[in-house]
Amino acid sequence: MLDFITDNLSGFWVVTLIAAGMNSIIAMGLYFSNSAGALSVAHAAIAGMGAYMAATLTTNFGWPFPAALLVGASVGFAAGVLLALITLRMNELVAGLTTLAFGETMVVISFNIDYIGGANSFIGIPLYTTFGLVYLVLAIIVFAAWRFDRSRLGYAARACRDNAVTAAAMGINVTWVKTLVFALGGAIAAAGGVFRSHYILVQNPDDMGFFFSLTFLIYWVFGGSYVFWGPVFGAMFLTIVPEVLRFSVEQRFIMYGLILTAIVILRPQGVITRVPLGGQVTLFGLVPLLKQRLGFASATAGGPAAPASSPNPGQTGPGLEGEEEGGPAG
Amino acid sequence: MKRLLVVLSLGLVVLLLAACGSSATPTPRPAPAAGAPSPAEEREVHFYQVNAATGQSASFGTRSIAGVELAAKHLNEAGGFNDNCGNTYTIKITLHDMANSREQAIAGIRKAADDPTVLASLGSTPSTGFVPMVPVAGQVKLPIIATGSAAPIAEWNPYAFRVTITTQAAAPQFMRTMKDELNVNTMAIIYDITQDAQRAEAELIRDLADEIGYEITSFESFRAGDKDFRAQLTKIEATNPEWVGVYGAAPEGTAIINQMDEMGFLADVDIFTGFGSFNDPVWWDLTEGRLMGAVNWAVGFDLESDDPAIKKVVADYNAINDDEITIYSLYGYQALQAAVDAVKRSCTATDREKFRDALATTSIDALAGPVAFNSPRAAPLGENQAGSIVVVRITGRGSFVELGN
Repeated sequence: MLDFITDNLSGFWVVTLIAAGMNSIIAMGLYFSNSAGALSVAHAAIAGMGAYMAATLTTNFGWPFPAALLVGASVGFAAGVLLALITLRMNELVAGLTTLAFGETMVVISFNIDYIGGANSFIGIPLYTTFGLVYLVLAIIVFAAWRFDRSRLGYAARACRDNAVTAAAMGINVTWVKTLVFALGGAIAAAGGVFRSHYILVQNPDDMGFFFSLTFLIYWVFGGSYVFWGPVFGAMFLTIVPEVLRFSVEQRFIMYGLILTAIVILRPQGVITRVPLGGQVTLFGLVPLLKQRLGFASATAGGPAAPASSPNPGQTGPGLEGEEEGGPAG
Repeated sequence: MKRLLVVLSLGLVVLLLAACGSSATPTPRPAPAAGAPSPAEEREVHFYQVNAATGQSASFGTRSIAGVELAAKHLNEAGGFNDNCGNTYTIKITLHDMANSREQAIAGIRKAADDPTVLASLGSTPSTGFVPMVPVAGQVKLPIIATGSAAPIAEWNPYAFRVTITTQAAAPQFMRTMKDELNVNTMAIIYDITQDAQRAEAELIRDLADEIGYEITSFESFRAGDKDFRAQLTKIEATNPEWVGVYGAAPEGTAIINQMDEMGFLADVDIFTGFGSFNDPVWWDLTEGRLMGAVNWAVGFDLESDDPAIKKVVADYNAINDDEITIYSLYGYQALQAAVDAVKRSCTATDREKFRDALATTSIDALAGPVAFNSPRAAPLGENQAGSIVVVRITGRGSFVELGN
């Protein structure tokens, strides 16, 4: 099926869809990392760290790509552990600034390491990333996110996000949960960076900077930060829309900005918000989501009415999100 | 709202399907004539421009784009051009904005390659675009000609070229001229560590010190976006250099010069740079004339020249563009000149392989100096082999004299 897609799409759209897929992977890393209440402005830097490590292994040492991908993801995991531990007792604003500083520090360090090219970029990276590989990995990550949401770890993470004190009082090891989910998100983001470097074939320190991290944050917030489909939708939509708007070279980014602004004003909670699932059979939560959006679903069977979606990520919710399931997580 | 989302989603699907359908069956390119020469034809040769029309490099990209479009306009208004086989050509230019994004640059070159009417792609100007485009050009076998990129290329392939004069060619000649004409003995350098071309030239000048016979007393760096350079300048001042090399973009470079004056040691040193930066009126304006007497190398091109061809280009460019003509405008103009010369010799508007082979043996006197490529398929090298530089001293806003005059 994937060959059918790439054989029948123009090269331009194949590249665009691959870019959208890679952005989705990194945005999913943000979803995991921020699920316990953290705010990371360093995911572009974490992605870049994984990219540089894997690119060095494949280019300079001839490592096979899967092994380099694993090492790159491990670097992201380690960076996530480090950042999580550093920001554990910080409030959201200070933690965000700390991650921003971490990202900028990585940029400065990268500019000063001649071995990885510095300002001249790390070049000569072999091409390994394909359309099929990106979307296969994205599908695995989406599945993992769906399982994560329904797992004890996922519930614990959301409990920590909603009220860390209450979560601790209920016996949740907040330190362990926050660190683990942040690290998982770091590993996923780093994997996205590995794919990107082995597709673009160039890695530059600028790609790790604040504005790139901000871009992924926009994908996450725009798409919907509470649902794992949100970052995927945000990354896909915001990567593809500027290409669709190419009919006007001068105005396309103005139109892009207007669309972004309109959506943020009309849907400040994100395009895709939390939706009650009830006891229905789901396809990673997508079937009932589409039903509700298309106006086919009535009040969910066996569950309470849909709660109003929270406009603010930090707003204290009803604790564990029992209203999203017809019963315990399965 | 639900319906709006449905509509948006459906619209996106429709657009994707349209993109799929429109490109599903590309028209096969006509095979080149194998035997007797075909009768003279009127043809349209289609070039793409993949360049930065928006984004942080737009000030360079838009000038190059305007240069290409002006060159095309001049040729088309003259009735087109003839190749060596008697065919007449008009030029069509299609712009793809890469917005200083590597992904969009790659998407652009693939889009160009998928269009069988496109013969070659001109651009990009920023290295952000050209460096990732080089390997893709080899994959899709589409000739590309960069119009300003100066970053090192790890591995050339037969399809990538650039008309830029890079620092590897210019810096040694620049330093030898400085030594011979100005007897430079000691110098300090302050450079932008985040700019590939600036950093590369600073490091090359440092590495040439022993060979040419001068001393580097201090080698300081900064980052694009920095505002205060006093720490670095204090260290430089303490080493008493005769010359100070200032390598950075206009915002930082002019700030450095102004701060040197505020610190009181600009009067005690001479300053130099590369890439013709000091020739840019913007630098003169931002330093309020403190550039008087400074030295830089530049492409051997004089905007004030009495040459009728140059006067026409400058006049026509300024008539239709709000921004002033710079070297990047000229790179765009002469990239199209080189491409047209290759079309003339290859007698084709669609055969990319014939065009590439002709382009690889280019040797012309273009608008801003000679352009020569020597890029055999077995040992490709897309650099301009014939670029010449001049070393000039600044005498006013946008005016200079060649060293020795």
